[in-house]
Amino acid sequence: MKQFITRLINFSLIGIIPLLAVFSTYLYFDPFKVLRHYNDYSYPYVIPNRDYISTTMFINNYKKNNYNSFILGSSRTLAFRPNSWRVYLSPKDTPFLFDASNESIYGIYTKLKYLDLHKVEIKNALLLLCRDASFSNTKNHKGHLFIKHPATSGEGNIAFQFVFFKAYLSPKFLFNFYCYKILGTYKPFMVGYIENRKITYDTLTNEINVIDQETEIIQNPAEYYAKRKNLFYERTGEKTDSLQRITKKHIFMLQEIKRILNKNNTKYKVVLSPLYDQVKFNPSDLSLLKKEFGNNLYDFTGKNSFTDNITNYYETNHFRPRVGDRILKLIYK
Amino acid sequence: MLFNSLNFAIFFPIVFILYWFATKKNLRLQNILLLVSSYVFYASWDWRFMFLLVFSTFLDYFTGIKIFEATNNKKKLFWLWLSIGINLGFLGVFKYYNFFAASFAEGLTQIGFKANFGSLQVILPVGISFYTFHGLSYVLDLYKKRITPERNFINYSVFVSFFPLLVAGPIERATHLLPQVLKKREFNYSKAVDGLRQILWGLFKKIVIADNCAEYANTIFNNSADYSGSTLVLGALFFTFQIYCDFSGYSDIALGTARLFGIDLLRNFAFPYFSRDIAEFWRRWHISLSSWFKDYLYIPLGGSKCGIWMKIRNTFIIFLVSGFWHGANWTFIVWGFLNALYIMPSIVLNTHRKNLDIVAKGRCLPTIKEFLAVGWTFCLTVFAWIFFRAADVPHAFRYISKIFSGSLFTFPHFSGIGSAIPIVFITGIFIVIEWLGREHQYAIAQIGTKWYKPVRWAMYYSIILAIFFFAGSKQQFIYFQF
Repeated sequence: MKQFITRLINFSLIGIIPLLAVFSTYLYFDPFKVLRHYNDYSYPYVIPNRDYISTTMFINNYKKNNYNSFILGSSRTLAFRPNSWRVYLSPKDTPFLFDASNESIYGIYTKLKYLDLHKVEIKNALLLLCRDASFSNTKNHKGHLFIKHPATSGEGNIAFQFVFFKAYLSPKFLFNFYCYKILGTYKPFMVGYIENRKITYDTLTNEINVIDQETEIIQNPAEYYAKRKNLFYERTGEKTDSLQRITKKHIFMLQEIKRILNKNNTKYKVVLSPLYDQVKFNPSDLSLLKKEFGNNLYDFTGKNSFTDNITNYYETNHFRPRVGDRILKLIYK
Repeated sequence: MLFNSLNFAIFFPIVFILYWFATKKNLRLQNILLLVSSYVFYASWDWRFMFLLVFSTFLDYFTGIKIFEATNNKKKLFWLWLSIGINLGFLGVFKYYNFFAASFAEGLTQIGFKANFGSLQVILPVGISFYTFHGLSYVLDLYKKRITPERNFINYSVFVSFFPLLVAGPIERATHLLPQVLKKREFNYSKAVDGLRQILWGLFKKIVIADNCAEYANTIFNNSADYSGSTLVLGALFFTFQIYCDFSGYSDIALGTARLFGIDLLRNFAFPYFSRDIAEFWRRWHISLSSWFKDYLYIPLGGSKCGIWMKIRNTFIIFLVSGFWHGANWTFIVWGFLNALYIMPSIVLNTHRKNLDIVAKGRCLPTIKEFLAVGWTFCLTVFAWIFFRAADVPHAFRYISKIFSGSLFTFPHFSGIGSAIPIVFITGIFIVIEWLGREHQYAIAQIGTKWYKPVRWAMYYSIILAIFFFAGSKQQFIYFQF
C-alpha cells in the first residue's frame, strides 16, 4: 500500500509541477481577462469572450448607469450602436449593448431572464437574430470564446474558469500567445487566437468600434475591398434556407422571451440580419417568428439593397454600422 | 454522480482511503463502508429512488432465505414467483407502463376503438434494470440450489449495491461476487495498478471517443433528412463507436474501481468489433447480460438441447427480450429481432460456436478470410445500430432508405465536419491500440508494462493529456437509461 501511495504521489507530482508552472503564467498574464477586474476591456490582443465582457460591464456599471434599453444578439450587433439607437428612444433612456460572440437564442433568453430576475427595467429592446447563428444551439456553448457568463447561465464559476484555463493550455494557443508576446506584433499565422484589429468597447454603453477597419474603408474603400477580393465570394442570387432550424426548444425560448418582454411592457423590435450570403430565412421558421413577434419582426435576409452592396460589409460575416443606422431608421420610421 | 465528474474524483479517493486505512482491514467495517458509500453514490442521482433499491434488496434477501428454508417445491415456487413478480412489476411500472399503455391504445385505435390509458409522469430510476437482474439471479440461483442464502443483510446489500456496478453493471452473479464480499480482502499492489490503468483507459474511451462521436452522431441522426447517404453512413459509424466506447468505457472504469477495492467484477466486453460472426459478437458484447439471458432464460426454455425449431424459437425469444430490456421502444425490439435474424444461419447450421478464441491469436495481422469476416460482421452490427439509435422505427427506415440512394456516392458533409477530422484520426489510433491489445482483458492491460518507467509514465501522461485536450462535451452514459 505504501509503495502504491508513494508512486501515485510521485506520478501526480511529476504531472502537476509543469502544470503549476503554466498555471502561474496564466495567473500572471490573464490572457482572456477573466481573472481580474478591468474597467475597460478595449484593445484586446487575445480574442476575448464577448459574453463575459458584456455581462461583466453590465454588472459593474448597472447601478451607476441604470440601463433600461438593451441591444441583444451576436457580434453583428456591432452595427447597431447604442448611440445611434438613442435617437429613437426617449431622452432619459440609457441603452446598453448586451451582445455575445455567436449569440444564440439561448444566450438572448438567459440574458433577458437574468434582467427580469434582477428586476432591471427593460423599457426597450432590440433583438438581432441571425439565420446561421441564432438557432444553432439550445444550451450553453462549451468553447472559451462562446461560453456564457455564470451570472446568466447559472452554471458554476469554477467550471467556467476551467474552460479558459483549458483554452490557455492548448498547444496552439500557447504557441501563438507566446509568439505574440516575444515578437510584440501580430503575424498572419496567429489568426483565430490573436486580435489583429484595434477594437474599443465604450465603457458606458459597451458599444463596439472596430477603429482601423472602419478608418481604412472610409479612407480608401477601393483598396480595402481589392485586398479582400478573395474573401468576398461571388453570390448567385437569392436562395432560401431549406433547413428548418427552429426546434421545440427554440420555440420555448422564443415564447419565454416574448413573455418577459410583454411582462415588462417592453417596446421591442426583432431584426433578422442582412447576411452577405443572401439566403432567405426558412419559410417555416419565418412564420414561427412572425407568429411570436408579429409586426415587431423585420426581415432583412435574402437579396436586398443592404446585401447587394459589398461595401456594407467588413467581411462576409459582419456588416458595418451604417447598415445598422439605416435599419434603425427604417424600423423606427 | 458520473464516473467522469469532479464529484466522483472527490468521492472515490475518500472512500478508497477510508476503506484501506480507517477500517484497519476489518471485513465487517469494510463492507459497511462499501454499503454506505454505495448508497451515497446512488442517492446523489436521485435520493427519492433509494427506497426502491433498499426495498428490492430486502425483498430478494428475504425471499432468498424463504426459498432455501421452504420444505417443499410448491413453497419454494411461491417465494420465487413472489420475488420475480414484484421485481418485474417494479420494472414494468417504471420502465414499460407508458410503452404498453400507448401501444395498447394504438392497437385499439387500429380496430376502431378509442382508448386512453394515460401516462405515468415518472422518471426511470437509474440502474433499475441492473439491480433488478442482480437480485433475480440471486433468487434463481437459490432456487436451483447453486448457492446458499446470505443471512447477513449488509453483506447481501453490498452484493446488490456495490457502487461501481450499481447503475450500469456488469450484471453480477451471486456465485461470483458474494464469495468476494465475504472473503477478507488484502491490498494487492499489482491489482491496484492494473485497476488504475483500466480506469484511465475507460476514461479515454468515454471522454475522448464516445463523447466526441456522440456530438457528430447526434447532429447527423437528428437532422438525417438533410444529409446525404454517405453522411448518414458516417453518422451510423460515429454511433457505433460512441455506444461501444461509452458502455465499455463505463465497464472499464467500474472494473478498475472495483479492483482497487480488491474485488474482481465480471468482464463485460471483449473487443466485440473484432468478431468474425454475430454469435462471436454476442459472446463479446455486454457479456454479463448475454450470459444472464443464456443462463436464466435460454437454458430454462430448453436451450439448444431440443429440436431445431425450439432452438430457433428460444433464440428469437432471448434476442427480443434482450432488445426489450434496453428500453420501452419498438426500435430496441426491432434491433433485437434483427440480431436474431443475423445469428439464425449459424444456429441452423450449428456453426455458432466456431469462433471461440480471439481473431488472429498470436499473430499481428489477420488472414484475408478473417479480415473479411470481421468486416462483414462489423457492417451488420453498424446496420443494426441504426435501429438502436433512431428516434422511432419509421425514422430508422427513412435513415436506411436514404443511405441506399445515389447520394451514398457523394462526399460526406455535415455542420462541424472540420472538427470531426481529428476525432476520426484519434478513433483510428484507438482501433489500432484495441487490435494490439485484443488478447488481454482490456487494450492497454499489457501495453508498456515491461517498458522503462519513464516511457511507461510518458504513455500514461499522453493519455491524460489526450483526455484533457480532446474531451467531448459531457454526455450521460447511454446505458444509464436502461
